[in-house]
Amino acid sequence: MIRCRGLSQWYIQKELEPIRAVDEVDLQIPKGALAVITGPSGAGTTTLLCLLATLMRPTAGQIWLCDEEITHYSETALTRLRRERIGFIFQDFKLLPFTSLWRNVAYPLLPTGISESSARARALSSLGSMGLFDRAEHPPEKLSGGQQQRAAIARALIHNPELLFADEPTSNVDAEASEQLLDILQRLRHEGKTLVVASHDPAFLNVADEIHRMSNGRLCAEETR
Amino acid sequence: MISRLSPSGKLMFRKHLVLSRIALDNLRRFHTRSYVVLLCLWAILVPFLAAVAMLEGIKSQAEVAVDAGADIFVSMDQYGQNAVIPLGMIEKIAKVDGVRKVMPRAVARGYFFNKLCLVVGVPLGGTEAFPAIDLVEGNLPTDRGEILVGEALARENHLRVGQMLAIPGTFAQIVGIFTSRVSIWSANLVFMSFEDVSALFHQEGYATDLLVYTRPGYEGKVVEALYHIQYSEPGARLLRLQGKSLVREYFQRGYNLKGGIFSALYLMAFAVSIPAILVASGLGLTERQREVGILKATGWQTHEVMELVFWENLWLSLIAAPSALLIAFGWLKGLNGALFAQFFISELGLFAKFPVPSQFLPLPLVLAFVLALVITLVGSLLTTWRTAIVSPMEVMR
Repeated sequence: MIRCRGLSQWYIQKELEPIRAVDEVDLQIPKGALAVITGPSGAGTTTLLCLLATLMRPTAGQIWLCDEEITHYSETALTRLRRERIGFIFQDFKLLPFTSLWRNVAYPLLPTGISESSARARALSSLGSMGLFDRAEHPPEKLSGGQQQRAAIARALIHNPELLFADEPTSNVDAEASEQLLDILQRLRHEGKTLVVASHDPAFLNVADEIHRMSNGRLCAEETR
Repeated sequence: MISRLSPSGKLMFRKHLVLSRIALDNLRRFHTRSYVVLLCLWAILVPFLAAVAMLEGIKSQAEVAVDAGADIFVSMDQYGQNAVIPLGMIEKIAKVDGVRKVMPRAVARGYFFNKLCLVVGVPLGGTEAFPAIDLVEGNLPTDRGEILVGEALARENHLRVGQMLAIPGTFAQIVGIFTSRVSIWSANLVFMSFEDVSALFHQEGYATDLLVYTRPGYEGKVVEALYHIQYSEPGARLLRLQGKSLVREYFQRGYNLKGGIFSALYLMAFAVSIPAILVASGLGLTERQREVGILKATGWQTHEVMELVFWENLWLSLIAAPSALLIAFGWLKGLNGALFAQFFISELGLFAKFPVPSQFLPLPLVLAFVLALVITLVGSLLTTWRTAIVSPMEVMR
C-alpha cells in the first residue's frame, strides 16, 4: 500500500555538510495497518512522514502509494492525490484562524464543485463524529488544544481518504485528549484505513501493527505484530 | 440560467461561487490588510475620479459657452496677437452677405471689490449679448451706469440689486445678479454697457473684438469675405478671425493640455502606487504564505489558490471603485473641490467661490475599477503564485 525505496531528503547549505534528514530509507506498510514511525528528536520521522504524504519532494528515491509510483508525478497530480486519497494531521493542527470550525473542516471540499451547503453538512457530520458539533461556528483559536486536534482530524477525514498520516498527534494535547485521539485512530484502523503516525508516545507504540525506528535519518529497526 | 448548464458546467459554476464567497470571507478575516489596501486604492482612485469629473465639467461648460456665443470673433492682428478693432469696421462687416448681426465687445480686467474681475462691455438692449446666463434677481442693464454681477461675486461681497458702487471715475448701480450655466463665469464676471467699459479703460471708438453672427451655413463664406476685405483695402491692417470651430479647438487643446499634464502626473503616481500596494499586500504575508501552504496540503491546486486571490482582489476593487466615486462626488459636490480644484482652474485659490463644474460619467468608474484590479493583482498574484508552486511543507515551515 505504501512503499519507498532508497528514499532520501538532504538539506544542502553553503559551506556546510549536507544534512541528511532522511537517508536511503526502504519501507513497506500494508493496507489497513497502523504503522508508527518513531525515533529521537531530529531522527527524521517528520520528514519521512511528509515525504510519504507528498507534502515534500524527495532528493532521491522512489515512493509508491496505492500501488502507483508517484515519485515523478507533477505537482498537480500530487495535489490531486492529496485531495482524493490522503489525509494529514499536523502536529500544530494548522487550522485557519478567524473563521468557523466547520469551514476549516470543509476546506478540502470547497474547490471540488460541491455546494457550500453540502460542504457544510459534511463538515458538521465530520465534526459530530469527533464530538465537536456544538463548536462548529466557533473559530479554532477559541478552542482547547484537544478540540483543535479533533477538528484537524475531522478535516483530514472529510474526503474519506484511504491513507491517513499524523505527525506527533499527541504532543500538543493533554492526557485525556491523547486517549480520545488514540480511540479515534483505532476506530479508523478498524474501518480499513491505513494509518502512518510519527510519534514518541508509548501509547501508540502499544497499539501499532508496525513500528519503524529511525536514527540519524535512517531506519534502524522494524517491528511487526 | 444555471439549470441550463451541463453537469460539469454546474460543478464549475458552484466552484467559482464558493471560491468567491471564501474570498469575501477572507477580506473580513484579514480586515486590517483589507482596510490598508482599500485606503491605498482610495488614495489613487479618488483624485483620478475627481479630476476626470472636473475636466468633463469644465469641458461641458466650455461647450455651452461656445455654442451660446457668436459665430465669428473679429479683432485686429498686432504682432500675431489680438488687438483692439475700430468700431468703423462694424459697418463694413455688416454689409457682407450672410452676416446677420455684428456687435462690439470690450473685455477687460480690472479690480472690483478688491478682486481682479473680468469686465465685459456689451451693447445694451439685446439678450444675445448675455449668452448662457440666467437672472437670479433684477434685470439686464438697459442704460449706461448699470451693471450686472455674477451670483458668486455678489454673495462674496454682500452685493444687492440697487446698490451703488464707486468705480474708477464714476458710479454704477447694480441692476441684476446672474447665475450661469457656465458656473466659472459667475465667480468674477461683471457685465456693463460697451460705452461704459470703453470710457473706463480709455478706449473710446475701439472694441476688443466684434461678435459676428451669421446665417446658418454662411460661416465659411463670411470668413472668406472678411479675408477679402482686409486685403482689398489699401493700408488696411490684418484682421484676426476666430470662428466657432477654432474657438472650440482652442479650448479642446487647453483641455487636452490640462488632461495631459494630469495624466502624466497620475501615471507617475500610479507607478509609485504599485510598490505601495505591494507593501500593503505584504501585511501578514507570512501568515498568508502559511495559509497557502495549508490549502495546498489539503488538496487545493495552484490555480484554485490563484483564483481565490483573484476573487479577493475583485471584491476589493468592486468595493474600492464605487466608494472612491462616492468620495470624489462628495468632495466635488459637498466640499466644492476644496484644495483640489485649483489645479485645474487657474486663480481659484484653495476654496472656490463658485460651484466647481463637474460631470460624473460611467466610463471613469469602469476605468477606476480596472485600475484597482490591475494594481491589486500586480501586488498579489505573483507572490501567491511563487508561494503556491513550492511544496506545502516548505511554505508552512
